[in-house]
Amino acid sequence: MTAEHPPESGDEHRDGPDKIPDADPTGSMTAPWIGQAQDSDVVISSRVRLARNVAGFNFVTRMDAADRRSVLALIRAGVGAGAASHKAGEGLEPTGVRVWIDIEKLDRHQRSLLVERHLISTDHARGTAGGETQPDRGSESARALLLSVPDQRLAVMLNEEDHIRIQAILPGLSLGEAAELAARADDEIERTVDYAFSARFGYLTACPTNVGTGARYSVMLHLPALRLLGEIDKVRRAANDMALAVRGFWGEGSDSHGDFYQLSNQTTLGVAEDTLLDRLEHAIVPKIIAYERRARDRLLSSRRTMLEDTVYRAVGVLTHARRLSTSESLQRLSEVRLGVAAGVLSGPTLEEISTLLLASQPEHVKRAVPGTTSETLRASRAAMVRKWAAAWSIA
Amino acid sequence: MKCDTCGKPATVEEAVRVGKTFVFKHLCESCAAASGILASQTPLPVGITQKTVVKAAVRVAGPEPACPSCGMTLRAFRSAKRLGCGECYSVFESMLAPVIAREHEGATHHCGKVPTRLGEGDSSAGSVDTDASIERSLQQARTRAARIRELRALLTVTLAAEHYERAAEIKRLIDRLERGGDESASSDDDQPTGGGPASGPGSGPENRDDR
Repeated sequence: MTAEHPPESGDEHRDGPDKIPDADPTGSMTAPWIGQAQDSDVVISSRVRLARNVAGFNFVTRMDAADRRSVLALIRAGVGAGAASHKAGEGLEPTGVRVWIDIEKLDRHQRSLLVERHLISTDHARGTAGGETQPDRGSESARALLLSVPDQRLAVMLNEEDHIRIQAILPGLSLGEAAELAARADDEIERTVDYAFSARFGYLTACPTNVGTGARYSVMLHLPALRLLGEIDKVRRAANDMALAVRGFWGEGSDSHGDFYQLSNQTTLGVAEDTLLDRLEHAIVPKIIAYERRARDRLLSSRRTMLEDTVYRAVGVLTHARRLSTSESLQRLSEVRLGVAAGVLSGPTLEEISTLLLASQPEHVKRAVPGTTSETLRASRAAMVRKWAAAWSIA
Repeated sequence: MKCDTCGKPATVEEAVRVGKTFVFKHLCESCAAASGILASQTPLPVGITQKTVVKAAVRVAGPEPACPSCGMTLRAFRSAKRLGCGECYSVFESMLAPVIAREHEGATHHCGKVPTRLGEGDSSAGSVDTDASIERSLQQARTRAARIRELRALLTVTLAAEHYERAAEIKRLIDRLERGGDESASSDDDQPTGGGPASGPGSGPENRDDR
């Protein structure tokens, strides 16, 4: 799914908002976390984020408009120069081309598309990541996104809370690969930009909670069986003991919408990147995966009727409902996903369900079903989902 | 009222709960800032019943110190939870160090990737550390961090026994280590004496819950 929709205008470096292909700033209706990969029955995606700031400039919290533009120009000139000397497969654009997107020049629908794909934060969309009280102050809040397309796996937010927020997202459990992708982008940007760094505190960030490596490693986990068996709190407590944060991944301030949980490191100082990465990818996450799989087996062996009832009711709703809210569609798709992973439902692939998770987000529904308004959003979502669900069959 | 540390006029009163009582300390602005006390208008936490030392409640008079580079003040940092520039980390280091340690499971020093431009000694990067010196300072930092942890444990025990002079001495050692110094002024690491290292700005007693 990931590479099915190439950008519309060739393969050269696209330059500026005037060359954005169409209303969709990425040129493809997909997200980097969609795809079949290792352990994707439990791990939806892996994400690595590096926070960096340019030496010699105030942080975004205390930057004026001119400095904001200077930082953007500095970085853009640097990565542009880097691209010219690179062959395909190197540097910032390992699989495709890159686009530079000036966020303040997008309309709110385009920004929402990027947020729904987890390519930018809500604050970056609104222009409030630097603590601004007033959103959308036009060129006063100059900010950008450097994005690899069509894969979107590398997304660099510029002038968010920090000058540079490098993000690499891959499907499944692929933290190591994502870390390499982010590190290459980091090295590339650093060729022409001096980073704010101190021997004691490491990479200096606007918020001291990110200082040190500036690296946040996270995995989006799908843990429906543990929730159904009432064991999700054990995971939360264990994670907390290991200084890991557990957050919901879908929905504003979400706790557990659709049983998707984001697990990430809370500390960034005093532990080297490789050490933390190794612990997460080879010790902690595999244990949680095994725990969820055992819970699924237990559901199958001792509570099969309850499992089937949950899954088939979800299929019923998605096949027949005439109105669907965002949260209900997430919950039902999550249950369908459990059914597929546990083998009681055939038809959709895990990848297809991930695609639907994205497609059922509000802005994506509006784009998929022309003429959709806020009033008809739930009906449009239900109509779209029904078409997909019609092909599913109970095993 | 004079500063307990340096004798200048005191503008800050710090109340620290130890056991069932409060111990009041008086500091001048610079000693207070140097020992990492956050400015606050909050009244004393009268209802607190914890047995161990709790976070200080502080009243401040006069202007606050600001970062010369970006103008950020401690009060603005407390409210926004964000710093203004890279310089802020040096300017407010003594105040930030315990805050950062608390956020990062007690870690006090960076361990991990270093910008390659620093490592290459790129002339355009200005006066930066070389690879070797960074490695050296990181190695020292690791030893120092272990020592700070030991001293903090000792501090807790000493405070519980209400040996305040000795506790203040241990705190001075911790402060010195956190600022990158060593313990050379102390003759016995685990048994610091009252006549140990000289007091200076920032070496005054600090009773923050900064694990």
